[in-house]
Amino acid sequence: MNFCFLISRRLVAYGEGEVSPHERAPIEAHLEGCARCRERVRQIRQRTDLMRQLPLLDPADELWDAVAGNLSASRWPEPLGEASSGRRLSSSHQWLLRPAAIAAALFIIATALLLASRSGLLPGSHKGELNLAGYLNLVGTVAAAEPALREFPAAPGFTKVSWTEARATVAFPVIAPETLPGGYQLTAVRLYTRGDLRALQFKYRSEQSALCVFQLPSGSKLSIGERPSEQYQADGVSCQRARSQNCVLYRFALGETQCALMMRPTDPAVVDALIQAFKAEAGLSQARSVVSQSDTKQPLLQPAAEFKLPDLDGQQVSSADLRGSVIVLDFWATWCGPCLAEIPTFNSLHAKYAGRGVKLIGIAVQSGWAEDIKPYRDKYKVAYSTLIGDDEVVEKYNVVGFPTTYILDRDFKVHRKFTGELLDRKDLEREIESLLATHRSEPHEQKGTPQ
Amino acid sequence: MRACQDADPEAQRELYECYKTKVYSLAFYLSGDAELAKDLTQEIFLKVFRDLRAFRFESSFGSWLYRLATNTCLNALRSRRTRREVGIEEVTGTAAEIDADSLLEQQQVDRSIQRAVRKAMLSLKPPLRAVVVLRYIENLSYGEIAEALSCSVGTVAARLSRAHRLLERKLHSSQRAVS
Repeated sequence: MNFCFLISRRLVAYGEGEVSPHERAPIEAHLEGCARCRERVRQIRQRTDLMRQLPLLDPADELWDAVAGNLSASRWPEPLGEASSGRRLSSSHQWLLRPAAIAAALFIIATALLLASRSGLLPGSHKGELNLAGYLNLVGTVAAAEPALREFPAAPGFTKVSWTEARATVAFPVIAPETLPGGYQLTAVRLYTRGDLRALQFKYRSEQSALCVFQLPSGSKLSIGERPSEQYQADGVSCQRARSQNCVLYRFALGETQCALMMRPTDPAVVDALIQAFKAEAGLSQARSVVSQSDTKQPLLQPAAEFKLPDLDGQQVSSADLRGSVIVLDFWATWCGPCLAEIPTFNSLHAKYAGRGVKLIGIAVQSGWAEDIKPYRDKYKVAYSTLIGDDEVVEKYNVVGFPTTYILDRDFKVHRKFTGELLDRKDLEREIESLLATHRSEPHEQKGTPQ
Repeated sequence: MRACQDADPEAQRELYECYKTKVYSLAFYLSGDAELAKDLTQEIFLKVFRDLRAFRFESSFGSWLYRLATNTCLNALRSRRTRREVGIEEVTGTAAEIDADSLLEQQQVDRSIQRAVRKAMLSLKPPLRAVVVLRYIENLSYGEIAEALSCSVGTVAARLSRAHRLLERKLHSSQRAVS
């Protein structure tokens, strides 16, 4: 048994033929007489074969356009690390040349920034400026190669964030409906942070095409370069329109939010419908803002989808049974690390609010049957009800990632949706408290104010 | 390669075509997120073309590229730790894959196993996952992995052994479900 322990760390290398001959002999001698280690080697080889069967994947064709676009837009400084000159200077000479090198580096950086600000996405020399000229050109190039424009290239400087983080980071009202006319669905939120400037990019996709919308505070400068632009009226919203090859940008302001809608050239009626949708959503945002400030009631809630799902004991639970309580619905999966990490938070929320008319329900999806889920319930000591979700409920609730948490009011209407792991449980508590404080018969705003 | 160092666009395109599959696969299996993998692939190639001028052919280009690519991916994963979210398609496969599943029952079983394997790999910590991806997806030798990760061959072997122990646990229940 001791020898089993000693060679266990070498069995993978042995199974892959990566041990030396003098090491192999004693391992093989041991394997002759040890069925358990032989079985382990068999399993290692089987696992290895499985992993080797995973396919290599090709990136989308338009990725090169994005790389090439960035290459042409960038002026890379000389790389650090290995020196490009063949001869090394003595340390005394390096010391003498250091101020000159610093001055030269500063000059190169300043020039690169100047070039980038003129042609690329980087903010310009003015504080709080976002320059979309370079990105407009880049998207135009991609659109030329990809007529459907199914995927927007990555906008330099923007990083993918969850809705929760996006809302928590920006100070302006976010105007981003989850769906837009033409079958567009919100697929990604990206955040740009530079100095004091915070901007968001929302990517939408339909079956045929894609579009994106940038948003930033109305006080920040949004530049679209020196290209000629024209005025455009869409549903009473005054826009400034700029074009690149195969791409068009509409810049408009809605309240305190500046928007830039970017898409392939399309029918003006479609553009009008899209901008109208943002205008309508902005109205809701403003209403939400007013509600939060003055306690004015605004009847704008949407009913949550009905469902009937089994719990882990096989009992059917219907959404109708849940009416009358504030509901926290957590869509999770047993293989999702962030979901499991959230369970203690939900346990403590359950302990705190169960007696105050709040029902916390976990809906485990894509996690197998009750017997597959029960070990996780026991291991993580899940104190609240767990239902076994199916594809239908995932689709109805538009769950595109795990964890996703819904808060529903006592009338079973959607109050707030969180996607991704909750960074601060106080966000959830605040929403629950606001619903508990509201009288049952009174209507509430559709979503939480993103402040 | 020399032409790439002179920023020749055609040579850059050729180099990209040559290595795009390896780089994208590494980024995809390390991040488990197709969109992030695209961003990382773009970032990696931009760094390659930027830093290539300083590459002096003293080591193999492949090792240099893998070191740069792996470091870029691991750094990105490290910075994303605070905002974790798992996309559905990361472990269930894309719609196209799911359609393909229905072709043949055996294919369906194979796909299920592949998904389980991918899921198990994603559950590993990034440094362990990197060794597994470099070894079994990218097919690198222990020596090449050691060079890419700037560690010893012994460390590579130890990490692989540890990864196998963890994968064994993760895959046990999945394989039982499939069979």
